[in-house]
Amino acid sequence: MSAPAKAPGIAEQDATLNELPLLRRERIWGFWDYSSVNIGLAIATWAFLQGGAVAYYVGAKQAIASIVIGYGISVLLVSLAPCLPCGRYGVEQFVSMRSVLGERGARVLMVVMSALLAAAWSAVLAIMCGHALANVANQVLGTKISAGAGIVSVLAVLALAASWAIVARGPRSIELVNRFVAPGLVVVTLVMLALVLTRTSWSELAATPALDPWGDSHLDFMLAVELNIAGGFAWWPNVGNLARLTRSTRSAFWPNALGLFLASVVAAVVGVFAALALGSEDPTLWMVPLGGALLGVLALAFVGMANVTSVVAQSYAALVAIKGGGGSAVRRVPWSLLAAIILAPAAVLVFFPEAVYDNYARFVSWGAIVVAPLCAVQLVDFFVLRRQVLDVRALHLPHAESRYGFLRGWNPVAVLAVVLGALTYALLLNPVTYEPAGWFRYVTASLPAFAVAASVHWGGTRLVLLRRADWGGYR
Amino acid sequence: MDDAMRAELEHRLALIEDPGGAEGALPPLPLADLVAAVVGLALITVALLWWAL
Repeated sequence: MSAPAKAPGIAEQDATLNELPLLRRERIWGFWDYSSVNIGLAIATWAFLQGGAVAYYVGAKQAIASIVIGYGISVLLVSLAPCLPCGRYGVEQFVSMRSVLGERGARVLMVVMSALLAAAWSAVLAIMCGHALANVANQVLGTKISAGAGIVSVLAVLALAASWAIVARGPRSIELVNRFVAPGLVVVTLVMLALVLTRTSWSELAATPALDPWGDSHLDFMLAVELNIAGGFAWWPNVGNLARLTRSTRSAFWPNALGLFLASVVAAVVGVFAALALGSEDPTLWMVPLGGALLGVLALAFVGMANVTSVVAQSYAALVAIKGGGGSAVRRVPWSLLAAIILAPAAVLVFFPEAVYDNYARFVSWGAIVVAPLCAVQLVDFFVLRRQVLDVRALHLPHAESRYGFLRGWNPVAVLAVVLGALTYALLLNPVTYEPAGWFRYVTASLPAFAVAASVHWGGTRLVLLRRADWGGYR
Repeated sequence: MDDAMRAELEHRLALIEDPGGAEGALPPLPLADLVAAVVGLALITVALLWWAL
């Protein structure tokens, strides 16, 4: 069968800006392109802040182990799902989730993920950018701007405006910016590492105690591991729509090992070392003491800019998702206007800089409560239950006509699996107080949440959904 | 979904579903890649636990 010619009068759609499935010739990223975007996404101040948060619980050696193990586990899992379904079929991430949650389930998920998590993370990054620029002003202009000052919020809004200007031009501008920013960030990180190690010997670092541990070394190590597993899962809402642009499944998978894993690990380890050496978890306070006035200011300015690139990358992913799942009314909204709407909640949150900035670990934990079970059900669904085969047409049909219709657009089994997974997480690690339960010290919280969700989805699907062909197309 | 969008979607689906075409799904990730990633992570984990704890 040959493909029909395009109907006359139909304008060519840029599918990188909406939820239409991408053709192979439209995939614009090879291995190194996606790697540079990935590194730009990974090395923002949030990686340094992650290191600062880990330094609360453990010293240098255990921090390195917890970061590598924690990120390694969760980055491997998000590299499998959503990266491979989206990379293999060129489908938008939340469209791909219709085969898991149903059309309506995926739409609700998309709104929650894109609107809430993207807003929260954009706000954190923008505030950090504001902190960095305020510290630059303090050094260069002799001002005395505090972390909670109003000017920090104004600078954060400017960072969001710069992010909007880039993301409004589409993914090619993201690639262009990251081609320059990503190598620069690697240099800044390595220079910081060299400066820390010049100032403090390895034996001194290794002997430096954690900043604020619980006092039970095993529990502190597991809390650090959990923080890093959750940190890796935090990429889940963003990476599918980036992997969708790659030209091979290897290009969708392995760059995550370079960017989300290796770059994040190096930056987080540098963060741990700096936090231990300087006794502060705030990355924007490390640069000048480490590098002196000139080098410190340059590093601060560059890291501030790097935060903008991270806001851009995740805003792009959220935009594509909302374009895809928002219905025809949203689809008619111009890309640049929708970008402004996506970033608007963050522009409000940045006016509460201390409340947002000081709750980094809780933000990470709140994300993992939902994302660990979601990753589990998607992974089991795609690799085990569907054997890596998706029906692209059915993904784009209304639920009443689609084999992925489930029950009125909802897959109750997947929803139950996610809820039970989230409940498991909350029982093991209180997301409000960050207080662990007894079993946490042996199993963490994200991994049991993942295992419970995966088991319930697999078992429930085999017991219930496999009985009828129109319940999700599993047979 | 408006008519133009639906027509574009249909055009793309036809290209993707064309068994003789070049626009179909990419081949799956080779199993060896996945095994290498899992084994590599397991080895690193064991080595780091031995070193750090």
